[in-house]
Parts: sequence; C-alpha cells; structure tokens
Amino acid sequence: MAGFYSLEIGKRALLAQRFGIDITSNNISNVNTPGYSRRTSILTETDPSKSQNQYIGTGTKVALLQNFRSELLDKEVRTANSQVRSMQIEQDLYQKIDAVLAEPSENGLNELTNKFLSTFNNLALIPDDIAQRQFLLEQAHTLAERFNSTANGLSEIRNDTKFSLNQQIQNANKLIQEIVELNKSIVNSKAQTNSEAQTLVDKRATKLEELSNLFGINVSYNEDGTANVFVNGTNIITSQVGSFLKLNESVNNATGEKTLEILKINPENQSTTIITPQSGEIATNLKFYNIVLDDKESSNSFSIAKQLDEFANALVQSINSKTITGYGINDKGPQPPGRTFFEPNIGYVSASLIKVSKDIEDKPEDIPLSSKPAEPGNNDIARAIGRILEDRSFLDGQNPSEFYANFLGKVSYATSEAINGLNTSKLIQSQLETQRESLIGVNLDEEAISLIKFQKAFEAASRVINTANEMLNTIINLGR
Amino acid sequence: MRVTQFSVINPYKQNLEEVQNRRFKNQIKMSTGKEIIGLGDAPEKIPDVKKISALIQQNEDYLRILDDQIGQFQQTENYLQAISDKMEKIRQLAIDGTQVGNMGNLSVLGNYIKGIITDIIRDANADYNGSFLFAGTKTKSQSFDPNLPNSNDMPFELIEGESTAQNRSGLSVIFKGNQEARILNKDQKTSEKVNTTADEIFGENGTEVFSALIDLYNLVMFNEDGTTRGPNDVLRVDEVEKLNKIQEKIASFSYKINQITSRNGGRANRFQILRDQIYEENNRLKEFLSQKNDADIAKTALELSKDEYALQYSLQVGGRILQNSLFDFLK
Repeated sequence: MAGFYSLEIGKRALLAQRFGIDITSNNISNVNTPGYSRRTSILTETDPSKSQNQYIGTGTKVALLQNFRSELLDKEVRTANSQVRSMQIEQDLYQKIDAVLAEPSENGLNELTNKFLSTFNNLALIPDDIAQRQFLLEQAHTLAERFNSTANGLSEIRNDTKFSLNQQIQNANKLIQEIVELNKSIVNSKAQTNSEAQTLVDKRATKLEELSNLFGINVSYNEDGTANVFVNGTNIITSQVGSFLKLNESVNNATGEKTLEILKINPENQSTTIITPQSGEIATNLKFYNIVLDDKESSNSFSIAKQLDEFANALVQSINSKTITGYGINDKGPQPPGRTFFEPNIGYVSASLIKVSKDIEDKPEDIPLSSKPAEPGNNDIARAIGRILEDRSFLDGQNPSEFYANFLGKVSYATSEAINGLNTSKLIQSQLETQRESLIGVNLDEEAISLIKFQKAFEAASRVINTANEMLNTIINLGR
Repeated sequence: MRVTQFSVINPYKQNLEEVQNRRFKNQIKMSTGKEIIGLGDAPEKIPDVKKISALIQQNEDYLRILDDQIGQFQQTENYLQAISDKMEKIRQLAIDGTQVGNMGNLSVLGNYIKGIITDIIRDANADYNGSFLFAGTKTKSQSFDPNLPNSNDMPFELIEGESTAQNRSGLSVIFKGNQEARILNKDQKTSEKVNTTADEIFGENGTEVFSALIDLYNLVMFNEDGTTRGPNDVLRVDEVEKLNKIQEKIASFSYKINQITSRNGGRANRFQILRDQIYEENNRLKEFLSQKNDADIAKTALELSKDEYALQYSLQVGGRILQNSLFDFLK
C-alpha cells in the first residue's frame, strides 16, 4: 500500500512542480510585455490520510495562482497617463503654434508691423516720393501675407486637431468594445479557470490604460469581475454594455462659431449625452479646437486665433479710418476719393482675409497720405498713421507692439506651462510606474531561482516515483 | 523594493533622453547666441524682449528720419544763404546806383539786377530729393493750379506782362505753392514743423521781396516816361530817395532771411542733439536687450561640456545597467 501511495504523492509533486515551471516560464517570456503582471503558484499540502493509525501527508497541490495587480496603483497610473497625454498633446500643439507664429524672431509679425508703420513716418519726410510709396506697398503686401499665412497656419492646426479627434473617437469606440468583450470573457472564464481570467484581467488593464490616454476615466468593478468605466461622471461602459461615442460639430448661427463636442449614444434607447473629459488627448484637442485656436471664441478665454484677428482688425481699422479721408498725389478734390488701404473695408477684418486694397495696389501715387487735395507734400495722414506705433488706444489700452508683446507673453506662458506640466506629470507617471513595476514586474533573477527551485523539486519528485517503483518491484518479486 | 527589468530600463531611457535634449538645447544656444530659443523658454522675459526690440527698431527708424531731415535742413540753409547773398548783392548794386560815378551805367546795373532776380527765383525753386523746398505742401508741379498764367512748372515764376505806369517793365513774380507747414514725427512723442515757407522768406504771399526787387529794377532801368535809361540818364533826387527806401526794404528782408537761416540752423542743431540722444538711448536698450535675450556664452559652453560628459557617462552606465542576470551563470 505504501508504494502506491508514494507513487500518488510523487505524481502530485510532479504536477505541482511542473505547473510552477510553466508559470515561471510564462513570467520569463513576458518580461518585456507592457501591462503584464507576474504570477506565482501558491502550493499547499493536500489533505492527510490515516495510515498505521497515524495521519500522514498526501503530497502537494496548486492552491492558488497569485497575481500581484494592485487596483489602487492601476488607478493612479491611469490618472497619470491621462495627465501626461494631455500635456504631451498640449506641448506638441504649442510647438506647432510657435512655428506658425515664427517667434521669437527678429522677423516676426510684430517686427513687420512696426516696419510697416515706421515707413509712414519715413514717408512723412517725402510724402510725394513714388519710390518710397512703392516701398510702402511692398511692406504692406508682406505684412498682409504674414497675417494671412499665420492665420491660415493656425487654422490648419485647428483642422488637424479635428482630424485627430475623429481618429481618437474611433480608437475610443474600438477600445470600449474590446473592454466590453473582455468583461464578457472574464465573466465566462471565472467560471472555468482562474489563470485564464487573470490573463484577461491583465489585458483589460492594458486596454483601460490605452483608454485613459484618450480621456481621464474612473473605473469601478462589479462582483462578477466586470468593470464599469466613467468619463467625468458619465458611464461609457456598464459591465457588459458599452456606449458608442460620436464627434459632433455644432455651429452658432449668430456668430458662426464652430464647436466640437463628444456625444455618448446610449445603445438601449439611442439617447445622447454630452461627455466633457477633463484630461487626456481628447480633452486637450477639444480645448484647442474650441478655445485656443477658435477665431470666433465667445467664452472670453484666451484664444490665440481670436487675438490675432483682433490685432489685424485694429490695425486695418485704424489705418483705413485715416486713409479714407485723405488724398493721393494727383487728387484735386474737393471731396476725398475715399480710398482704404486694406481690404476688406467693411466690418470686422479677419487676419486670414486682410490684403492691400485694389484702390492703391498698383498705384502708389494714389495712396492717400495728404489731408488736403492737390498737396502732395502734405503728410498729415502719413504722420497720423505713423503715430499708431505709439497709440495706446490702439487695442485694450496698448499700442501695437505692447499688445503683440503681451499676446506673445500669454502664448509663452501657456507653452511654458505645458512643458513644465509635461515634465511634472511624466515624473509622477514614472514614479508610479516604478512603484507598480516593483510589485507586478518580472525580475529575471527571481525567476531563475524559481526555475531552479521547481526543477530540483521536479527531479526529487521523479526520484520519489523511481523509488516507489523499485519498492513495488521488490514486493512483486518477493514470491519468486 | 523589488527591482525589475522595466524599473531599470525605463528610468534609464528617460534620463538618457533628458540629457540628450539638454545637450541639444545648449548646442542651439551656442550656435545662435540666444538664450531664448522657443516661446516656452522664458515667458517672463518674452514681453520685455519684444517691447524692447520694438523700441529699438522704432528708434532706428527715427534716427534715419532725423538724418534725412538734417540733410534737408542743410540743403535749405544752403539756398537761404545763397538768396541772402544775392539780396545783399542787389542792395549793394542799389547803393552803387546812387553813386555819381555809376549814374551813366544805370541800364547795365538794371540788367544786372534782373539777372540776380532770376537767380533768386531759381534758388527759391530749389528742391530736395525732387520736392520743392519753399512751396509749402505743394511740393510737386502737378499740384499747382493749372489756371494760373504760368509758363513753367516751378513754384516761383517771373512773368513778363504789360508795361504800366507803376510797373514799366511789366515784370512780376507769381508764387504757385502754399504757406502750409510740413510737420514731422521726430521721435516717439513729439512732432515739429520742418519746412520754411515762402512768406517767411519772401514776405506776404511769398512775393513781397520780389515786388521790391522789381521796383528797384524798374527805377534803375527806366525813365519816368517808360524809356530805357541811356548813358546820359541819371537818377533824380526824388528817385534817389525812392531807391534808398527800396534799398532799406531789401535790407530788412535780407535781415529777416538771415534770421530764418539761423532758425533753420538751430532746428538742424536740435535735430542733431535729438539724434545723438536717441542713438545713446538705443545703445542702452540694446545692452538691456542683450542681457535679457543673449546667451551667456561662457556659461553655455560650460553647460554644453557638462552635458556632453553626462551623456558619455550615461551611455557607459547604460552598458552596465543592462547587466547579466543569474541565467548567465547557470550551467
């Protein structure tokens, strides 16, 4: 009887140690797999058996496949991920904006505006000089083109954010579906094997982290192991049901302002709810599309595109209001011909549309620089325009260079905050990931030791079976 | 704390990236000489840098304007001086006409005076860079009234009209310009009138002086009956008195022109002083801008060298960090 028992004990030991080797091998093979949580087999002694009026052990078995995942750390890492991605996108967008503004440089919009206005002062010296007038027109063309290209550059970045948002929403919908499927699989696998469920939990954790790159999420877990996901309080996944997200653009008919919003479409009744993520790539792109790069921004937040338009509009209005009362070299009067310097000459002028007026485009002699007819040496209009350089009533109580300098200061602070924010959030993310790694990560030295441990135990168990086999042979051969 | 593959490799990668970024930034600083490379580098400095740059640029434009205007003042002074000299010459000729010895040459003197009047008109029509100096704001000929009996496109013109009892020669000078001031923005705060108008130089309507000169010419050149003076014609006592009065009038105009010339010189002098002040101010602004904007080359060079060492050591350490595991020692 003893020999058969040893065989059974040996068999149990072999299975348990082989299981250990399998787990260790899996850990080693996933040493570089992102999101993988190391596992270890917890062995326990099997129930004892009574023999010779004594209770003796009956071997070992795998009691538990232990996983080291920490929901607290996972949650913190997801939050940090959202922050890092927010800041990363913000920094990238500000870098693109810096490139469009071509600042800081000695040939930026500020310098071109100053040169252009200073040319009026130069012209005041010889207002009848055709060469100087032609030079002024060249400066005006250069300035208008710079306004156009800057505004168009900002507009292109804005369109890029919309394109990115479309892709990100598609990606989010894909991730939502994958997480829902994993939720379903976890419910099914829990009923079968624990190890499969853990693999699925790891996969879901990875998908949740990918989702947290897109927007800040909160996750809660149900008793059946499924996860619910919320974005700023709105649930987008409830156990085995996921919502569909849609990017929607609304237009304010009064102002023409275009605003993007994310709609959650409820799969049950097709009702919609607006989702407003607070962090992540989508939140940042929405912020840039709806505020920072929106030239018709109406919430009084800082908009680069709108401020650029305001600058262009103030410049055009202040120059046009003067030239419209002036006379060119050959104008005999008595009424002023009513020429504006820039177009469009009606209503609010956007930086993307500004151009030199057709009235004077190829006719430098017609630039109205004189306040009286038939006085080519009269420089009243030229001097008045030159004085815009120092005019503190130009815009928001500032002259043009002060306004633009302060505008750049705001862009600079926002860029700097994005860079600093990214560095800080990366540091936090790195610390959290290191902390989590120390818990769930694979250490090859540890795994090597486990491998030796299980291998030696496996060899010993084999020896037990061998010994039991020899004992049985001895018993069988007793009668011969 | 457990140390895993990720917890070793990830921070190393991040740190390596940081060192490389730092080195790259210092390389740009060295090559451009600028402390501020991107907008996010120094937000507290950007508004100041842009405002100071704008001030420097504006000052440089004003310096150019002042230089040009000083040139115009010099040109004005030259012509005013020339006009004054010619007036003085005419006055001298008038005095000569009263001398007994010259009485027989009055028509010669008359012709001489007419020639000088023509010369003064030529000076009065002077221009600077194609713009008339003394025609107010009508600095181009196309702005003159086409209905005036003018035969040329100059602001001052000598017209030969019908002979009358008051004007035997029929000569007159017309002025087609105006008396408007030309004002210039000379710095960021102030403006100033920079031209000398015709009425300031030549009296009422810009022609008073010429009337006096033509009166003198008529007196010297013609007898009372309108005939040209011959070798035997002399000035009568009443004519000498009249000539003296005209001569005194010319002297007072000449004196006035000298005053205007010195006022013009004074303006030029003030403009030069202002130019020097702006030049000084710009030097200070450039120095201030340099402190804000320019890289400290010595410091940047040290930092660059430090970053290069850091990068080298970081790479060396990387080789050691990715060290052997227990597997390498198992047989």
